[in-house]
Amino acid sequence: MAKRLPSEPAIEKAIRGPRDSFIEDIYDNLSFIRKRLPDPNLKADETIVGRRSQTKVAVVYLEDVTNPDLVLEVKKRLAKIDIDGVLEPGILEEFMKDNKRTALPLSLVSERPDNICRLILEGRVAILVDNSPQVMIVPVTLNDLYQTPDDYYFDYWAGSLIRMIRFLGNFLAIGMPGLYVALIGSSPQLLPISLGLTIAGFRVGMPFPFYVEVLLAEIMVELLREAGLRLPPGTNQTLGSTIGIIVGLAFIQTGYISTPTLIVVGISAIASFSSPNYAIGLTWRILKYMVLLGSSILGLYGFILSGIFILAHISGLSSFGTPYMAPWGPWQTTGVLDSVVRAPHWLRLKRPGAAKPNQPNRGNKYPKE
Amino acid sequence: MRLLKFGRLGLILLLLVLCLSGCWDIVPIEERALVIVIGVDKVENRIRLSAQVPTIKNLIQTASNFTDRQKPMVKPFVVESSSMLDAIQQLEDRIYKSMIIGEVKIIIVSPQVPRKDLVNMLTIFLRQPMVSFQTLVFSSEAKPEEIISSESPFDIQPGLIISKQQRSALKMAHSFPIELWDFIARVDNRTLDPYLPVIRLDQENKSYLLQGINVFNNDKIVGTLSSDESYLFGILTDKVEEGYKEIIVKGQEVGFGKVKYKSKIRIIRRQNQDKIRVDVNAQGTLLEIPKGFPNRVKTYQLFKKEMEKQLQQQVLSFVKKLQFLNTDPIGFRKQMEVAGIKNWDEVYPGIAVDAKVHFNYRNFSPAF
Amino acid sequence: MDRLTSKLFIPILMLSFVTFGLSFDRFIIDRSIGVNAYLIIFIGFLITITGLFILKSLAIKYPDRSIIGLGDKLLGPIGKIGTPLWFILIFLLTVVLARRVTDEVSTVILFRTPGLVSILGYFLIVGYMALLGEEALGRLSSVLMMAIPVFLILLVLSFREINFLNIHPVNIYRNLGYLRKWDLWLLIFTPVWILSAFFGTESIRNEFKKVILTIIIGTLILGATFLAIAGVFGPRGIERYQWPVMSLMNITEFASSYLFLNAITTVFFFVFLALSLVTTASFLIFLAKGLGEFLGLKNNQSKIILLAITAGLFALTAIPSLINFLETTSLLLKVASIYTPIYILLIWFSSLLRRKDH
Repeated sequence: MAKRLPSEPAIEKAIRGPRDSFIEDIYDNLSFIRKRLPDPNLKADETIVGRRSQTKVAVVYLEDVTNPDLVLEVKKRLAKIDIDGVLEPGILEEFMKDNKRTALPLSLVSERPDNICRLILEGRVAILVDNSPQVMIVPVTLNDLYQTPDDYYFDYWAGSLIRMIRFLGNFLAIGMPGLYVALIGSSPQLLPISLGLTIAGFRVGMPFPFYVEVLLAEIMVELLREAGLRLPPGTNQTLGSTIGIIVGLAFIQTGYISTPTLIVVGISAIASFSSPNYAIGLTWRILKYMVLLGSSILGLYGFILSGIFILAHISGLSSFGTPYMAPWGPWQTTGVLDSVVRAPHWLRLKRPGAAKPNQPNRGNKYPKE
Repeated sequence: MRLLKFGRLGLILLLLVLCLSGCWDIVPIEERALVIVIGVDKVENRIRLSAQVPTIKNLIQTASNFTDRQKPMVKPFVVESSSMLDAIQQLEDRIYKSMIIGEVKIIIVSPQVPRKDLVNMLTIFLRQPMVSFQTLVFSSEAKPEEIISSESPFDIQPGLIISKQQRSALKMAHSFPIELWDFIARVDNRTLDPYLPVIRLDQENKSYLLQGINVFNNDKIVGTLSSDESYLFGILTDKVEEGYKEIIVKGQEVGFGKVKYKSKIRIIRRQNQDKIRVDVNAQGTLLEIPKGFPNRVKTYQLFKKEMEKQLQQQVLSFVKKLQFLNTDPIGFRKQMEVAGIKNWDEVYPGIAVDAKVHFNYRNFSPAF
Repeated sequence: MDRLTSKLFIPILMLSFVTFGLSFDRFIIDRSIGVNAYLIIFIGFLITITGLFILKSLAIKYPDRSIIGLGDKLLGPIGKIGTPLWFILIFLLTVVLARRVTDEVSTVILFRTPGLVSILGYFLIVGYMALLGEEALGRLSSVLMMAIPVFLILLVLSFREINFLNIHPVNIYRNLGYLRKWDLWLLIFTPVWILSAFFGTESIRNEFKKVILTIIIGTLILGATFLAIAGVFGPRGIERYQWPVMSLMNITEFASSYLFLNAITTVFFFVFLALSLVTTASFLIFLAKGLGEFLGLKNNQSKIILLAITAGLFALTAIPSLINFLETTSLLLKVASIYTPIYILLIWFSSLLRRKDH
């Protein structure tokens, strides 16, 4: 049967590091992992999921590092799945989640072999699904969704800066429209007077209330985003940006949307792409509307309440028993050293405690045989 | 469990109630009148309240790309009423937008306002929900509404010019800001007296002149300090950051620049007599040596001694003036209370004062 | 009964402790206390540290029971009355805390919105947080611990406005009358007693030093806050403000630019509201699970109790008028803050008289 050659990752572009990605054949994917981890302790336990599709699913882990309870739990949950077809890890993810109602991703899906190997080395379990170039990793924390292999390949200063920008970007993505609505709607005295007057000046004569304006602008951006995905390659970038610019200008010139609103929504849209994990970016796009709703009703108070609600929800989540808010809640120093800032490799001699690995040390401390 | 499901449903319904309950406080910013300056006056027993509201269209570029800078940037509103609250309500009625006092940066009080009412009037502003406690308060010799109605050649709101002028670092030497909360705290505590900087219109330059200070005894105005006296006030309260100072030596003016002061006030208690002791350490740059004085060390020593002597005399006479007016915006009474003088309020006007000034050269100007 | 590990318990403890100080500032510092009354915080601190030692001895002697179970077991009929009374007092304390916070919101941010709506929003979030459980609350508190250094920065910035003559220590030896007001300071330590007795038995047993260190840091933070308030506003000036800490933040300057003047108030508001939500949720969990334990209910039945208590808290917070609150609050706070240590002390005395139950 014809097979696709490994190509550059479609979403997780590498700036520095290997440019290969997984393909649709499970055994080829396993060989990519084995090539990077020729460790005799690397185990791949195969199972079949899906009555009709009879999809091969491989559970890959390092036997001496990974917590055996975790491996057992993964296999148990896989065994419980009773469905006719499994075509992608996303289907498995929904069945295996700890909390089935949350919008947040409780597992990490990656197409890069180096990323998967990095996470296996931390004591996590990789789940490979035949006919899918995406590999699932469990357990994950929110912090893991902001990490890419490139952070580790660059110097720790650069890696830390990139991480901080990502976190800042996500705060902007989720909070900026809501904060804008809260401040100009209920608490303009908290804005510097010049800024307040400028925004007021741009909004004079606008037909829509400002929260409707923000909502319309957000919907417009979402439509452009979705349409851009379906445009033919070669034209999507040019056409997408041209349409965006022309439509945006037209809205401003005709006075349907004010300039500050478009700036805020634009920054929020760009910032939502700052997270390396597409799934969490999608989640922030959903939660942004909740924050916007809270701000529209109760101003700054509503903004804070909705923000705390989201934080509380995240704190209540766990991924295969691992607190989703780790390493900040509960505090894990090894994880914190690899969160907003990336500590140098010579300080990261312990594995992060999120997956409760059997062997916490990365260094020259293998057990004697 | 069924009950939990009902509970969840109940929670969702409550959430819906919250969402559909309305947004009482959400008012678009362009529909708010952002009052920047407020003037308080009293005319024939009626309170005259004036407010400066920026006209957005004439101030900045609007959505229609039209900015009419020939037209006035601000619109004054003036109302009269028997009480402050009623006057605020009347202002609200006259301005078509929803008035917000939370943006008020400046309050200008006229000398006609009876002093016992002043604190009550100011506390009404303090109690407004959005008012910044850091609003600056001024005393005006003219009617506040004249200042509020005045236009400025600068391209920023007139209210902001006043606050920038007053708050500039390294600039003010004859006028010092006092914030709304500080004025009221001084009146409440009754040891440190409040003061108000004086604001005037500079008609020639279409700007504002901030010179001089009105001093109070608790909440009663008792006198005015001239600009030189205000400078001394700044010295004793460490508010003068880097000013100029001129002395007369043998009939000639000698100037010092970038003079920094550090004052220390102590109460010396002796069996016979308690005394206020003021020590001032000053450091400055000698700017010029007038003709007739040789450019030598002896000259510098002479200027130093004269500076110390003259400044000392000025400080002494300034403190005596404050005692005569029975006002203490500097903190002598508080020091006396801390030192254990029991009836410090009565003792203050008559207590002996001693001053000592030490001056050192920081450097000389590049050219004499 | 072990509830939380120290990694989860200590953040809850710290946040609740600081919140009580920030929320009930008006009832603690006023002119009648005098100029140097911030020093009395050390009396409250010493009493609380003694209480923690008592709780430790109880936790070691009875590792399988929480203080609720001990009250029932050791005090007999007195415990059967004393524990429900304790619940009622903590319930009312939570109501007062919620009302203090929502009143501040209504005064500072949403002054046209009916108080009912602000309170509804508050309890919807608190109820959700409590439903997630104490472990989730511990994780959230761990994240929100970052608010404490932020608050410290704001506090240090406020030191610029302090007039040191206002807080000169001369009054320490001249006027000791303020020492009579020592009971007021117990109020801010009330969450330490309650949360340590219920959630923190494991931490007190195994990580006692960390708990003591947390209380020391919290005491220093609150002491510095009240010192700053007294220094800035002066003894008589404090009386003017309903929320002295908020007023302190209102006058704090970072730089002369208006951007920074307002930013401090906004940031403090974020910090304060976040801490208050966590504290209220922790008390709500205490009430729900404590009552469930007292009545011998199962876990899922405790959730129903939690919803019922949330509804009760909402009703009692929203319905009474401001006058009713002002009339009853001072007395209620005093009674609740004195009753808690006395009740725990009673349990301890009783345990001394009995041998360990195997």
